Amino acid sequence: MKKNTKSFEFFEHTADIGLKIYGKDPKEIFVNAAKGLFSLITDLKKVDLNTEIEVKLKDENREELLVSWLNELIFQFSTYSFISKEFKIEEITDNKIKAKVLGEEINLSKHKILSEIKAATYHELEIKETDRGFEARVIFDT
Amino acid sequence: MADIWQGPIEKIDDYRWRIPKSYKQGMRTDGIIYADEKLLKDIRHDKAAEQVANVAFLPGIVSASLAMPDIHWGYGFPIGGVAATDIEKGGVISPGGVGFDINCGVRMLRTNLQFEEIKTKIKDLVYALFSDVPSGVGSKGDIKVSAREEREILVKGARWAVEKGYGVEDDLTYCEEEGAIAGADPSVISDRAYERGKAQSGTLGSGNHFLEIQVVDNVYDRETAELFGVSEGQITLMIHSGSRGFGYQVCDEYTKKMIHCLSKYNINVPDRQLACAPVESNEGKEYLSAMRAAANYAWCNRQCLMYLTRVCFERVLNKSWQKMGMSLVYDVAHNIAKVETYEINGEKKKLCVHRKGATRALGPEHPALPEKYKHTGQPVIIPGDMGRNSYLLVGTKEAEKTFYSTCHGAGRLKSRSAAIRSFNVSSLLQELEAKGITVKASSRGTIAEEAPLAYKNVNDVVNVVHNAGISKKVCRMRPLGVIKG
Repeated sequence: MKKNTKSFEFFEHTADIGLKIYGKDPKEIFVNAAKGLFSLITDLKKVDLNTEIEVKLKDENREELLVSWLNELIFQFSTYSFISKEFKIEEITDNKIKAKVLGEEINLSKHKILSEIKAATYHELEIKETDRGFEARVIFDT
Repeated sequence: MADIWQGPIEKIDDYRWRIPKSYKQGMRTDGIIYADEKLLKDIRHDKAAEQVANVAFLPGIVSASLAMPDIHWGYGFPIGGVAATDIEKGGVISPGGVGFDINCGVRMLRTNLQFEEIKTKIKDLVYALFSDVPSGVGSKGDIKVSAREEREILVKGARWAVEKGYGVEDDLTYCEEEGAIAGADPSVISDRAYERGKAQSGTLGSGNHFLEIQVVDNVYDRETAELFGVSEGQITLMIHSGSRGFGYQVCDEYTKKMIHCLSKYNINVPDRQLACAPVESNEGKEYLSAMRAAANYAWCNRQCLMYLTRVCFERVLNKSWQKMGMSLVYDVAHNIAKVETYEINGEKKKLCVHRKGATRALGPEHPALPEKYKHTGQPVIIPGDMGRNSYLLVGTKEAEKTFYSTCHGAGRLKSRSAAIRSFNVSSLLQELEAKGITVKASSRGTIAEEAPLAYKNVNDVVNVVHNAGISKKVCRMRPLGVIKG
């Protein structure tokens, strides 16, 4: 049974795009943030799961770890044309994340690229606990 | 959209407005926004003014936290923000004051071609440019570089391209910093930044990066225009691009490093994206070297783009680019930090000048100008948005009070998502075609995102800087063809 059906939504920011993320725990926040990010990039329904990469990161605190996680996925997209679609987080603490990410390399005949995301920023970055679980905010530079 | 900003704005004169430093505890100086009454109304509609106040927190800030009339909400620094810090007094450098797209900038070419003689060829040129100059997200360039050459590019900038045969010496003379800023250090660039940058050399970025064919439709200062080599009815070109993924990676990595500098150097800033370190610290020096490397990469990229553009024109019009007079008027950066010398209270000081979405506008006789422009001052290239005018301005002596800085373009009004929602792409394209503008873009999303109404009116922005005396109008161009990533 889903308590909160929305996993993410966009909010206005003049030059860029903001993402508000919902989840029952930090793991879900990280997964939904990544899904929100890639839904900005392309229609995920057209992406197959034929490639897998591993992501291992360390950071000072949970919020900075979220930015590092998203920027790592952006790096993979920008450098290796890898579109991330599914996220299997194997380990997550406030300082560490280990995950297997499944997706596919860009195929321009199949995937329409909607926008280029330069990076996730620290601007108004926030992860907080609410009575319905967790909520986070990230602004992307586009 | 954010609520109306309620903070205090005091009028200094018709074109300058002050946010007093008493507004917020921690502000070391005032904020000064260059705008007129009309633009000020829009400015209050996003949180840009708050960011101008936040920038005033930066240690070592000199004079005021400045904002140009195309100001809008960024992350940390507003876009259109200018801030200079006193290096010897522990002044800081902030990657947020430069931006992700390090040395996003624009260059302008003049030509011997007249609108009347090639107006039937514009569509052909646009389609040819779209196919010959790689654009769009995920596109790869045709100009391949080896790992050793990559490091050379970071130091030599546009000179690397000229040495390879992708340009001539004059292309460097008429470029800010002559196409390469000294003090770049390839060793402080991470492998990941190299990886990210490698695939993209010679391509255009997406979003608001573009290549535009224009005609000069209004000359305001005949003497200066003549010296710049432009005249009414002439075909001109603008190429607007930056350091792509390479720059974004450098910015991201250094912002992260600098967040840890805040506690190390006991710096208080209201926004993590204003993370900074003293210019003279190891972290500050490293970032400056890395930023310079990224800037040089961007200049090399723009040089390559200009080369591909010249070759394309040759192919379509069957004449050499030299015979068509396709020479560089100037190239300016509008996301960068420079170490520049100014006289403050009678003392010569080395300042770190951040220009984020702002353009350098040197006045006459400035030593950094090429010989030909010493008498007039520096050409300032202001690209408008798709479907609207672009301008060529000239720097002035008065601009010294803004550290020789001026606006960079029109500035966004609507968020990208709001723009996409409210514009119908086909009707927009029809409207542009009706105005005689051919548009080719690799993604329909970018057309709507860049829709003219999503931006402030560039004419208003330019009138403010002109009337405020920090740069003067030389001529105006209107677009004929646009290629967007």
